[in-house]
Amino acid sequence: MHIPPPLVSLARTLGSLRLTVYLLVAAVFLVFFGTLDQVRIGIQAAQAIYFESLIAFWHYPEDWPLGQLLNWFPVPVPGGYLIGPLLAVNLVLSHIRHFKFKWRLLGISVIHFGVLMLLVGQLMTNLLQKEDYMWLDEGETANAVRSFHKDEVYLTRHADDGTVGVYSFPFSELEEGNSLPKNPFPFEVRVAKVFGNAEIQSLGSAPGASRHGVDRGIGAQFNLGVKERSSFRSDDQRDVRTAVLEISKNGQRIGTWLVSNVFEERFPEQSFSLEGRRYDVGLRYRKTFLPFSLTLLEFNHDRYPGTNIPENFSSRVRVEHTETGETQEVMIFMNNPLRYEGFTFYQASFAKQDTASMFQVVRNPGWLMPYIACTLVSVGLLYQFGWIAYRSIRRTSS
Amino acid sequence: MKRLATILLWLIALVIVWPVFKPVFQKTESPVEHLGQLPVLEEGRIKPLDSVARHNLLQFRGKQSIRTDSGKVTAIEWLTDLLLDREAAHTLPVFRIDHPNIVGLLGHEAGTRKYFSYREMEPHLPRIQDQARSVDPDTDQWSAYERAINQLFGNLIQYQILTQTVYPLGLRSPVGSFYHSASDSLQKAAEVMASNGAGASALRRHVQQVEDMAQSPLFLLYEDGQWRNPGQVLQEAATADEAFPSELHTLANLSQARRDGDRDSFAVQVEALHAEAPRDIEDNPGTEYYFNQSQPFVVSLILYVFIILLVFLGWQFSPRIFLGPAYGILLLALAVHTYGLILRVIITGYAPVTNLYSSAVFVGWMAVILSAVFEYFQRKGVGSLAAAVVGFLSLLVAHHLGDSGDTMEKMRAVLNSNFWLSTHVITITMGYGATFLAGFLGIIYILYGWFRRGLSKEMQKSFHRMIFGATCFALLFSFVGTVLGGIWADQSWGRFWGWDPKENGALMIVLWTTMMIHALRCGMIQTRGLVNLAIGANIITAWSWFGTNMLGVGLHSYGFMDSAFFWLVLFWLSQFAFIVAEWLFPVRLKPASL
Repeated sequence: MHIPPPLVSLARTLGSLRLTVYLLVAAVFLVFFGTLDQVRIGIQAAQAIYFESLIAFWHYPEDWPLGQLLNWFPVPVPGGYLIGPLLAVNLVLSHIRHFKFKWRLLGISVIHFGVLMLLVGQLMTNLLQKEDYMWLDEGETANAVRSFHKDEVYLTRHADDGTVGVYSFPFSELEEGNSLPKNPFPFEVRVAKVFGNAEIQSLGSAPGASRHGVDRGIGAQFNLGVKERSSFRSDDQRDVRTAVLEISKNGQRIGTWLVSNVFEERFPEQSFSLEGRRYDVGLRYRKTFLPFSLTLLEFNHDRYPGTNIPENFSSRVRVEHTETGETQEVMIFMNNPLRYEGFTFYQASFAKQDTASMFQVVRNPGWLMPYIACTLVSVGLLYQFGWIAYRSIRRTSS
Repeated sequence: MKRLATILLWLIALVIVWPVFKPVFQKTESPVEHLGQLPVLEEGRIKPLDSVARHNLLQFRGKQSIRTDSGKVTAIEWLTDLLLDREAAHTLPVFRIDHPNIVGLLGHEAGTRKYFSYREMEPHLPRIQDQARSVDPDTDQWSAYERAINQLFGNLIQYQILTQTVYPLGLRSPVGSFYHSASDSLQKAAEVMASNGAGASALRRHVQQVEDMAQSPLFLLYEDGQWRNPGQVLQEAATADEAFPSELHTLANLSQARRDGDRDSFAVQVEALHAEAPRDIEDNPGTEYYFNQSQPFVVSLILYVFIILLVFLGWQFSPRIFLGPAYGILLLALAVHTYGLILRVIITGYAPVTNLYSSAVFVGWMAVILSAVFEYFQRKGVGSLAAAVVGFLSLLVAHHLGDSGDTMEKMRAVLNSNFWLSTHVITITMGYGATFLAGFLGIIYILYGWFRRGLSKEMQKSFHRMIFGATCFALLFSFVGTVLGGIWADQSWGRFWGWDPKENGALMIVLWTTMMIHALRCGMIQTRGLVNLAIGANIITAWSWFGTNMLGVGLHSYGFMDSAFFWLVLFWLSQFAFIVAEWLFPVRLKPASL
């Protein structure tokens, strides 16, 4: 097969060790600047801007010495989605070019295969991992988890027999002016307004805020005004995601509602009736239903005697599978999560004088990848450096 | 000549090591020292009273003893007075004040005094409290003065709480009679105070005094399987309607003996307290007491300095006389260092690295081992020198990190796992040790080349091999350590990698050392490049080890240190300076000798 010469030379460059060196240096700078900016914008935002992008720009912080002078200049930093794939290609190509089977070089292949697997595994985790949480009071049972960062618009229909039908749509995909797609209920929901982060106050006291045509529900009842504000960009404080939804049937407007992720804890559901059925409409932290339920039997917060230093947090829970009815009792404590049906529950927090417990709930289909990859790399490194040490010692003693 | 020198050098080394063994042979001790061995509970940990004394004095004063005009006062002598004969302790200069404005606040010219006694501070307490309270609630915004005044205020509060462990402030009567009358008052308190009858105000005062005593974090007494401070014992004795507890008798007599200066009676009471102490406990207060006395890390630090000196002497005058003993004494220093680490493990029951302090001790230990192996194969003094330099510097860093108090504290919940402490934390720290060793070998290479006016080809090769070897170790341990950290995170938070600053720091070491090995492999760099990149790795490792903790972000931000930041920046600048200087004045190769 004939390969055109430019392609060959491109492959040569992409597979060269020099490129590896440059990429690794670039990666060091990326990680350094990404870490520095975590102080300003938080871990979550820095991850998106630096590690999950092609290129990022770092600005010298204003509150450092000479900050006023240097802050304007954007320092370009190659992003994680640029360096990662390039490293992967570099690694594969240079192996194709240099690979020779020799026992003393076997370690190198193993190491690099493991590194490749790590890169792919990290990408898979980025794309597939979902992180949620669940709060439980002692004695309480729940069968759904909530998202840390994502929100959703939802509609609930209450049937006469007590069953409910639920429709939800991710907040991040809402578009102003469009209707919610694939809505199974006999009415239309048009997204009139979307606020990535909002300030909600009563209309009289908030300059610059507006009603946005809301005439039903909590917004109308308390005469609320809304105005856009910039994201908190914080790991501790969640943005107040808000939307104005206009509901109509056959072109006939039923009403306009204000929905926000801060309403759920403070107000009852916003409902309306249509054709003899009750419907709820709202915006909430994304809710995912589990094929099983969890009951918190007991939460324990052990301290070292005579102090407030925590020694251990543990939750005794009962897991009941919805379909099979199988139940089991489990202890979840620090460094000892519960893995069940693809979900992993971690002891994360507590409240209410040690009677409520929070679990972090993670789904990551690729969770085993890094374990395997790392074992490969570690074994490879040991093997290879073992060779080097052996040769070096033999040389010195001869 | 050579034999004589060797014997002499070893004699000096043994004199340096003697303090480690002295406490074993020297059994005679004063009653106060015996009191120092009493096991007590503080900060959730059973330790000898001597440790409580040292840690508090360190926190207040930055030193483990007090120098006065009339001589040296040990920590336990000071604490004994603070607990039993407060007036004597109040006049000792135990508070260190560095900030000139605070010194001024106390009515002294800045720069003239550094240490102040409680007696001197007392009139200024209200003003100190005012100043400390009138600060921004956000501690990140504090100025150096605000931090200093708050630290001082906190220390004064702790001093006051501690001194009320055995008897309340402002007590005029003997401790024994106070215990009895307070105990009576507590028993009657409920009924009398309800009726608001005669003597209610005296009762209230007693109740308040005992409550103040019960605030003490120092649990001196052990009763029915529970640790109690004297205030709690008084309260419980009153509610349970029991006979007056005997250990309070002992304590009251002890205090009286101390005030009267009655040594014999004091010794008898200390003996009685020991008799009441619990017998079968898991902790090792006895070992800890010995550890406090013998200070193995200080001894190995001094030995490392001695070794540095020997190697210099060897290179300058006679390798034959000095380099052999230098290597031998290095092994001795390593043994003492190791001994200290083992004692810490026995005392705490944790793996050797549990905080920044112990990580510094361990970084040095690792580098010394690795470097001693290099020296074994190539006896040129380079390995000994690198080992001694890294060992000395890391123990010095550890010494300053340990200034804040107890370094054997109990581990918070998520860290309370010996499995992960002994795998992830240890390997990561070994990685730090190996990168520092490579970096300092680089610095030694440069200095050696400059001062000897060039290197022989053979010497250069041996440097190259050592730096490369250390870098390989660094990569291996940093990688494995980082990965184990990921697995730990996956076990406890459900994510293998979270871009936490400390994780990122470790990743930077892995990336950098990987880069070094690849650059060597493709011929982009030779020995000179290797040397400079290894020094660059020092910068990255220091960032990873300390810098990331100072950001105040993420899960690993344990221990923000202001003054440490200054030293960190200084270290970075010095490393840059070496790289730049080597670039300006390259190390030359000596032509092969004929």
